[in-house]
Amino acid sequence: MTRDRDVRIAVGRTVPLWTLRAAGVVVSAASFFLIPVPYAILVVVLAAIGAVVPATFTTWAAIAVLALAQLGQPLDARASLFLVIVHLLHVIGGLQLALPWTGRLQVRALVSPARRWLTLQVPAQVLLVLALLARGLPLHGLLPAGAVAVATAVGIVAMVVLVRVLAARR
Amino acid sequence: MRGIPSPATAAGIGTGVILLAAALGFGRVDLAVAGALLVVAAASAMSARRGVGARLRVERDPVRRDGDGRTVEVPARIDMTVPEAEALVLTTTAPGRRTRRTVVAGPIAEVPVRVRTVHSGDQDLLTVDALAVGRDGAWTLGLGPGQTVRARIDPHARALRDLPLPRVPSGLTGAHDAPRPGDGGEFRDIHPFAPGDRLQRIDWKATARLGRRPGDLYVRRTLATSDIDVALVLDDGDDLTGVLGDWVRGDPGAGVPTSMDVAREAAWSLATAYLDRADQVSFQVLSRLSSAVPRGSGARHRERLRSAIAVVTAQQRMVRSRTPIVPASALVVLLSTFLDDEPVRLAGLWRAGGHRVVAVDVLPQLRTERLRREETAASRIVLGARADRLADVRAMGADVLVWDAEPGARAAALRAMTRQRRRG
Repeated sequence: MTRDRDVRIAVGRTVPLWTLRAAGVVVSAASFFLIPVPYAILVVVLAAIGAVVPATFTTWAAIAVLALAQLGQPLDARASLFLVIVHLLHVIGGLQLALPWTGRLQVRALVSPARRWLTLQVPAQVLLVLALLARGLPLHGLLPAGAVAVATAVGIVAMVVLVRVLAARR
Repeated sequence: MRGIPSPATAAGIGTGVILLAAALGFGRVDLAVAGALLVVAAASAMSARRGVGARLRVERDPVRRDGDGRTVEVPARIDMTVPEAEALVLTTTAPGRRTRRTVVAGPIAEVPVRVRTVHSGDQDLLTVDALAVGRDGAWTLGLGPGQTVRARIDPHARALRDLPLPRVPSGLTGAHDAPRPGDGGEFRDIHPFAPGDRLQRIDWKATARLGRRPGDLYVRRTLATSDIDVALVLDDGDDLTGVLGDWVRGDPGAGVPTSMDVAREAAWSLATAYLDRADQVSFQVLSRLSSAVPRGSGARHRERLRSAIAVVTAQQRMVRSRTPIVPASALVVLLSTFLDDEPVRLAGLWRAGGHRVVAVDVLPQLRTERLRREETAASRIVLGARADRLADVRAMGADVLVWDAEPGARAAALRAMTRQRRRG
């Protein structure tokens, strides 16, 4: 419930809206576990700028910097954390573009984005694990690069359709 | 009405494509999965309908009065329905208060709101605007125009035990003693029987005690009863709070009662108290004499008075205003802040016409904190002139009643006025 002396709005448990923006910066700080410090600092700074002035779109710039810095790192289990950060930054970046800076946020309003985040994140993590396991197998040459690209595109479209159908059923 | 797409979708898809390209170029599967994830997340958040059929509705429930009587609570319900909206940004603005934003879960939200106010009369209590936000902020839709919670808040009627009466009640029957002999009133005197006296009025004990000759009879005479005329005249020239700093800045002071609130409460309390005694009450406003409620009593007249008093707002007074006409020998109750000379002139006219005048000071209790030096000096001049006017009114023989005082002090002042009449 939000309240002042004269106007009481009963919406259940709420948190300040700035915590959403702070959450974006905190999530970006997890990049210190993935990439070298100078790049990680750049990611955090870009995420912070995106939190303060969302219209600069630096939240997505932070995602791009994180991904490119990731190229210099060995491919290991930390890639799961990379997926988590990228996806969270995208969701928080979109919300902070649309929501105001000040006010209260009903905690229940976060349930739906969180559910959709999980709906996409879990299959992505499974796919990543399978890809990491398949790395050692002699699959090179089995499929041409063009076929991989087409299969990826078809997979993306299928996933989009599936998520939208699931969302419509709810 | 369809929502406006947000650049977040394009940013997500663009970043995803960059990641996919990098994955293809460098043969990195983690970037490929992340890129595909971003594209899927951004694309699945898009919507063709984008809130088509959105609706914002505000419904008000009956006004509730708090225990102290002066504060009222107005419950309302904000209903928002925006198909495919994930969050709804509710913007509420109460007069004189900071705008507040609350983000609630969509697509359907029913938000109970309670607004407390110390004001009476026609009030715009809360303005509600809403903005719908799509999945992951993919689109936004303003649910304009804003809706306003309005209410006509009846003034509170305070219980009054003692009421001032006019010098000579002029009615034919009622709850007050008239000075003439008649039926229904208190004992007046013992008088020799005269033609026209009823036989049942013969006081046999008095006859036995006072009779000197056979045939002498004495009757017990009583006073007649009478109702009275009360003319409530409200000076609507000012609407000021008791916070002196607000006078300079023109701030309405949302959280504290204004002089019009006090005047409405005083007028309605006095009207109710006199109507309870079956008296005739009329009501006039200085700036709009044409909207006067003529004298009357009874339940229907009470409702007419209540609505007339509730809708009074501060108005610019005419330069040449007509003097309100009041019934002969009526008690005139003049409700004013006495910040200008017109009420004093009117009180003088009515006193000269033989009316009993009760001047009700409706200025709220004054608060002088946080005043600058020049404001302090100005307020002293204004309040000094006001005190002189009230002294003039007293010197004319009118009674002065400060309404926004402690309840005990107000009751004591009313009791003192009642005794004055009995002595006189």
